[in-house]
Amino acid sequence: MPSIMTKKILKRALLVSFAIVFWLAAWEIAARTLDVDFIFPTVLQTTKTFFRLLGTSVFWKSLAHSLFRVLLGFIIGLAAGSLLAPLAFRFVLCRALISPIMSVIKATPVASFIMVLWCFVGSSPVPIVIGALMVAPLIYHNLYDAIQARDTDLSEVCAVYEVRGYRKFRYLYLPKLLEFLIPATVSGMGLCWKASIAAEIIAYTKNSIGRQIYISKAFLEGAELFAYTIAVILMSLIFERLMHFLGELVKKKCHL
Amino acid sequence: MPLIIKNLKKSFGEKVIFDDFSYTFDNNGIYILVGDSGRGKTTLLRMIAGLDNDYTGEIITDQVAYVFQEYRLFPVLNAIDNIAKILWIQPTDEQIRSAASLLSTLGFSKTDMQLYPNALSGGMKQRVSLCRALLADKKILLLDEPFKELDSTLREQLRTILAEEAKKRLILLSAHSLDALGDLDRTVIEIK
Repeated sequence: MPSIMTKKILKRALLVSFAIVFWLAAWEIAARTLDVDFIFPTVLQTTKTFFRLLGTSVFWKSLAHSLFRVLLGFIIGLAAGSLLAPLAFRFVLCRALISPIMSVIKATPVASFIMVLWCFVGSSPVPIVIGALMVAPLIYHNLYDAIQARDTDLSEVCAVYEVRGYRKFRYLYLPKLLEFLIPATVSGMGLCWKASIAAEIIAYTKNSIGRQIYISKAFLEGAELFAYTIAVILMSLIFERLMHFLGELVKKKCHL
Repeated sequence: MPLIIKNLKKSFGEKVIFDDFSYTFDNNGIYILVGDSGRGKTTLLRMIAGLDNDYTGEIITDQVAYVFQEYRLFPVLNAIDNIAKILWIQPTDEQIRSAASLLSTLGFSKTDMQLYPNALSGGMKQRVSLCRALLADKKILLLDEPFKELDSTLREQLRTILAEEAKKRLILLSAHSLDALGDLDRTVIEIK
């Protein structure tokens, strides 16, 4: 007799499988109906091309460089947001200076940033800067909210028992920061992949997945375009899951 | 004299809580603040602890330890660490043993000491909070409704501990009524 838990997992797996099969079937039918494989290839064509690309050095070189840029952008954004949020919370002048910039960055179309940055820094660093620009406001706003949402009751306990410095950070602030930061890093990672690849496409960055997508589009290689896109989606999903896993691990370790 | 209150005035909006209230706590011992809800017992404790500075008048005080009404334990620390890691930067074995010994006196098993606040009952949380205050070794001990969640056995234990502690420090506690205090030697301060 399968347990209730096993039944739940099986049910969920069945539902997910059904959804995947359904949408793949819809894609296949749409592709066959439209019959324009240089723009909209079938599932089979895309799969074949994807596996063919896995055997090429261009694919892996592009993927490695894109991965490096995305992660670097993410780390810079994470560091900038984490540094600026406490500063803005602590000093009114910092808040007055930083908050509007963060809001402007959040609202500005990513393409505008790419075009401006391209002129100033050249094509290679653009995806890194764009990734950082996408992640920083997200982390900044979440951390700022986390500091604001700190437990004031426990803050008073810290005052009475003179809990300061690292201990105050570890027991009072860190739990709240992680509570807000973990979901922000998961969505930030997804956002970083999307924005960085977009920057690579527009800036035509050397050794990048974005550049390969651009070339595929230019030469009407629909299957290749789709295959590279799938590679980006998979990488984004893997890293989002990784961030989620790391977050859960930290939460468990910190008894959250 | 560890605690002097001079001409204290405190109000919340239009509502006056203290109007020129003065009191000198001459000696160590147990002092009980008695009064109806909303009369300012907790407010007075908070002002003495330096957590509420929005008043006129003067409070001359020494270092305090405070048992809050809502226990206020850190959710990321287990029972024993809520004492040891909060009171001491790097707790020594002896300090940890003293915390464990006091918790044990108050009915905690070794397993209970490892429990996190979300697994502790209200009474257990209160006892952890009380141990933390007692071991803080301050000259003034403030307790906000300390008998609230305790059964009769634990109340008796607390009375014994307070009687012993009152020999070496000033204990100021708030209570709705004097019933829970039994025959504790105390000075009653009525807040009207």
